[in-house]
Amino acid sequence: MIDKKTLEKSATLSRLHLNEEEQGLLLEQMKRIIGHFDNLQKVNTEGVEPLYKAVEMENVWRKDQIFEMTDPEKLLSKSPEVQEGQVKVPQVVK
Amino acid sequence: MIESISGFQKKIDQGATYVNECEAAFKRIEEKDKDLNSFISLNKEQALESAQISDERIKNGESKRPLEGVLFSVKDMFCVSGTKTTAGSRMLKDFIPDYDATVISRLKNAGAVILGKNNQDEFAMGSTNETSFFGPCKNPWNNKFVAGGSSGGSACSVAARLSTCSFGTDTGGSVRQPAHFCGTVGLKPTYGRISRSGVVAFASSLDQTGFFSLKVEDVFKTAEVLSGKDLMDNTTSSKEVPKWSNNLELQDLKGFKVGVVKEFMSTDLDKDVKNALDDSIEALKKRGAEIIEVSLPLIEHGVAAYYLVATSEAASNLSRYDGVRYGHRSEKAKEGQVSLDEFYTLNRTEGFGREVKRRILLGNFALSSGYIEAYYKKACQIRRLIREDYFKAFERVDAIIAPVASSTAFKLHEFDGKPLKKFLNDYYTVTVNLAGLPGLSVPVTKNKDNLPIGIQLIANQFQESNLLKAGLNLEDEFKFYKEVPNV
Repeated sequence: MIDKKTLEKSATLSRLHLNEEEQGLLLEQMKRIIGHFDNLQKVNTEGVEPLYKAVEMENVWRKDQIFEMTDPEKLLSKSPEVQEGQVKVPQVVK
Repeated sequence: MIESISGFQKKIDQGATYVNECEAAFKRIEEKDKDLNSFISLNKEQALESAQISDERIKNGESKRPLEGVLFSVKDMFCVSGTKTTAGSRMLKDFIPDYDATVISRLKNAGAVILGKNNQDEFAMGSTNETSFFGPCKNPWNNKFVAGGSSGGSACSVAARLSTCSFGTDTGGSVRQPAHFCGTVGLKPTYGRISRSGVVAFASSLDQTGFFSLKVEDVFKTAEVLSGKDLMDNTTSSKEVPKWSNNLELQDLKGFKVGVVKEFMSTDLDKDVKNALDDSIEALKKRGAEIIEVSLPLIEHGVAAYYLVATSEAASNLSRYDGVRYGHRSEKAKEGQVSLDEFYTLNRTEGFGREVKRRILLGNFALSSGYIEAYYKKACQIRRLIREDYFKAFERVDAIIAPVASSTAFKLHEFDGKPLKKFLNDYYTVTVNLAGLPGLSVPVTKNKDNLPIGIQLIANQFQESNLLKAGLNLEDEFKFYKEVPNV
């Protein structure tokens, strides 16, 4: 079951900050949701292979060809900050 | 007034021009969409340019392409080059891609005009369109109610006759449910039938592109053009795409077997929805179908298994949004004042809305060490068992008939603060995605609040043709496309 500590851990893994009010509300909601998820334990799944993709698929091979995708300048134009053809981020190493 | 593809093409044959039709559509959108909020952005310049090309082609005696000049709108999950693609999120509110999703370039090659980008729940997470950063899209039949979700704007714009056809995505019902709430047809093809390259990802093993229109034939005309193998998406199937456009004639249902799910008939269905379902079963029977009871014994666990898979995949997919190369970057993240982790955390905390955060947190919980076996893996095992049950049912029937949701459209704010209750409403749609099946929602009637009711048809993988056959019969029986909302 989820508690304050597991919620905090999940928030850290998710790179999300929760204030105290959000934490309280989310904890209560997630307890209910996970309580519902716990019903799955009633189903006997011994020996059942987990299914990750519902439609059967084969490996796909293609030729290793070079083709033009998009202009690097255009790609960089999406970035919040750019300097000398590089994406700029705050200094993170002292 | 926007009509079916064939109605539109007839109008052109009688002398209307594509440019005039396109301009009229924008005028109508500007008049009607202020209150409905079915569009996030309009694509006027590109649309008129494309309509002009269609006019020139006709003038030059060139042959018509399959969707020549047809007025489409697309959910804001689809990358359209040079057009804002927000996924309904603050995270991507200024994002302008430089390339077209495969389905968008195929749509353009087929001659279609893209009017604009439809409103949606943020990252397609929601069933009411209320989680959109751009505000909710309202129901065109009654504006105190929601359009549904997550592809609410796409359903609303077709129902309100603002676009002829539209694109949505369906991860757990996000095409079929808003189609039901808004009184349009909604098709979710088989997983792998249609490329998702260039479509914002939510849950990769469940996501599928789908379509809305007023007529059953039009979602199939659209699907035919867009289906098939794409080298940019390895999950697309190389199975041959049937020529649905050559099979749009109504045929009776002699020899056609329709399954009624025992477990669905004993649930708490709204009275009007139950009556609509019974009437639809009767209609198919009258047209020659044999009705057979089938059982999906694990269906009660569908919502839990679905939300575990969907949130786990979402947590992974959405980890790409860190505010470095694109997307929202916090003003607080000034140079040298934060660590790298704090930088990501600031960008993500500001960029994502409440529902998206809740799902990322649930997903990372289900995937974290100590819980992955009990939750994520268990859900995937149950996913296999649910798929087996569907496969067993389809050994006996050609299609299954079911409700889309237990009620008609929800009131605005009905589920504020009640996420579990909202999740549980997806009971009739989510297992179709878990099993990779195609589904179709066909509108049949309205209730006393003037709210539409749709009925769901489900077929085995790659058997969309069965949905077409049964869907045409339901449509012919109830002729809901004749009903027009007063917007």
